[in-house]
Amino acid sequence: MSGWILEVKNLRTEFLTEDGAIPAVDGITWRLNRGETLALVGESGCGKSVTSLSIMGLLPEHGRIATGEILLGGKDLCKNSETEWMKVRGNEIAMIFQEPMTSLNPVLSIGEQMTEGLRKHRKMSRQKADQEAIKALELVGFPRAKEMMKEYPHQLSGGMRQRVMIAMAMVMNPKVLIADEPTTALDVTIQAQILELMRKVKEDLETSILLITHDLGVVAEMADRVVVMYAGQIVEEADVKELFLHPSHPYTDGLLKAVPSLEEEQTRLYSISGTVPLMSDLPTGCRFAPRCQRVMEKCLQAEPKLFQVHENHYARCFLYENPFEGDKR
Amino acid sequence: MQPAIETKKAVQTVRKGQSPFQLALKRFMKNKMALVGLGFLILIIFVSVGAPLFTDHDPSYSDLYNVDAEPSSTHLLGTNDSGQDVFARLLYGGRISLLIGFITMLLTVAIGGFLGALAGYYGGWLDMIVMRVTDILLTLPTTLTVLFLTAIFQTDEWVLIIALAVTTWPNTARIIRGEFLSLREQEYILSAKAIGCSGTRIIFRHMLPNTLAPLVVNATLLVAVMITVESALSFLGFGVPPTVPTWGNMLKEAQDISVLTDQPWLWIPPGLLVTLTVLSINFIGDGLRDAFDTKATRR
Repeated sequence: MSGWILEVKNLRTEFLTEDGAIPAVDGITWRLNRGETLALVGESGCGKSVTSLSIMGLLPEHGRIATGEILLGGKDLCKNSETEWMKVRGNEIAMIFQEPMTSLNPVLSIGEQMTEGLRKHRKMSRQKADQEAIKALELVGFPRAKEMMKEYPHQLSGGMRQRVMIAMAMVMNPKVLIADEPTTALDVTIQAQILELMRKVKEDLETSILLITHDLGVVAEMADRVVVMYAGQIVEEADVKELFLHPSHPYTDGLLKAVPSLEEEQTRLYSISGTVPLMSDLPTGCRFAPRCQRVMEKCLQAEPKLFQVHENHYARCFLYENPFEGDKR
Repeated sequence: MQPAIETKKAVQTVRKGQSPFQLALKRFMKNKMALVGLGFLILIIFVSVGAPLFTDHDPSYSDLYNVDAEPSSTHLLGTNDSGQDVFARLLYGGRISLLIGFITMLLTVAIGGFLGALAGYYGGWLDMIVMRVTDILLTLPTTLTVLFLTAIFQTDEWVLIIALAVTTWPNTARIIRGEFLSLREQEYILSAKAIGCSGTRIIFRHMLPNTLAPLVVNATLLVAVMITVESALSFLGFGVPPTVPTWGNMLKEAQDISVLTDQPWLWIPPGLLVTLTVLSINFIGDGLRDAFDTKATRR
């Protein structure tokens, strides 16, 4: 399968606590195609961000990858030494963080931060790196890119900083761009600009994007394929249209219902009852069973695996245990 | 509150390329007390370093025919009991006192800053070791330790400098470690890691400049402390050897009750200089702290 650029196989990331090792990501498997945008969706604490940090090799001190492989172009990143990691980070995989206001170093000029990766990974001279950085800043829509190179983060607004972050990631022309909630901290108007920009950049440079978000609007706008996560597991995986038209897992269904609609008048916004279970105290059987509206006897006893619902559409739910039976199309 | 910050930002965008340090410098330049302190300190440094320009006397030459002379046109501040010119000793003494103050500060900041940065960034066993060493050193009374060290080794200004640096770096190390512990959790450090920066680059390029504010303030105040400690130790006879002119050694003359009462020109000028120098350094330190503290000025 040469089309896959990044493959996560059976990844399990644990955090060492006083009660032993607690998994935050529990055996997830997905692939990212070249030039594709894959969205990782789920509530807070479902393991989205931990997945991205695992891929970057930037887990906090007490976190570790217990089992699984992260294959980038066929090479397992989990086996990397720290020096090898440094060659991957920023160079082959770049990342955009959630908080543009705090993601730029306040004491370094924009130019300094923009050219850091180029000078390190590409061994460019200062002038050459400056030229590249100015080009990237122009690409993300700064007409006065040259002057901006000498400016400092406190002189820029949140939206501008996020554009700088994108330029900084894209200047390296990475194979994979991880965007961890890139628009969450921004105004709605700026959000649309940033998404538009990411899409443009992706098309220009043919980068694959791993989009981590809890905003289904962003997913609909950006993604080609969607992986829905719940309590450290993948509960549903499908193409974006398929997912929005035929949400199969009751959790996904709930998420979509919780999006306010303009067409019908709702007195009260739908919400999924209950809360995400603690990873240290998971229910037996299906992890979603205590909150599920279509819970069955079986769900409380055994954990479902990912069943195929339709072509390229999988759901971790016993409703789809018999092939295509639950598919009401 | 919010709009005020916004307007400020807009104004700053027009004046382009101002680093946080340039902004701090601008704020510092508005602080009158600090500027007076800075001016006085520069004057003292100029007069001490350029001592030969202001006096023809050799500070260590003993004119034995002319001991304990009163101030006159040849000896502006008279001579001491060895017949040395007090004015010359005052100027040349400033060199040693300031040298001890500045070199000790530099050493302290280098050792303390380096170890504190490593401990704060890497944590783990390295942090353990550094912190335990600082714990032990902080239990030792500084003055006593320096007395002990200078007593074992011959007294020489460099022994004093090293002894002082060895005993004072733990404070600086703790300050920097604390700063690094909080900086380490900042998103921009994670983002620097995500670019592929090495540990050393993150420490020295990304984190250290962010600790410059507390580091500079600490360093400035250290100079003042070191000058006082030098005078105190020399006064007690455990600092720089008595033959070397320093302000502390000159104050030592006041141990003699007759000097104290009858020859005030021997001890008042060095005493005054120590006080004024320390005071002006402290003003500079306060000014720097206010200049760096954006929260206090953005009100």
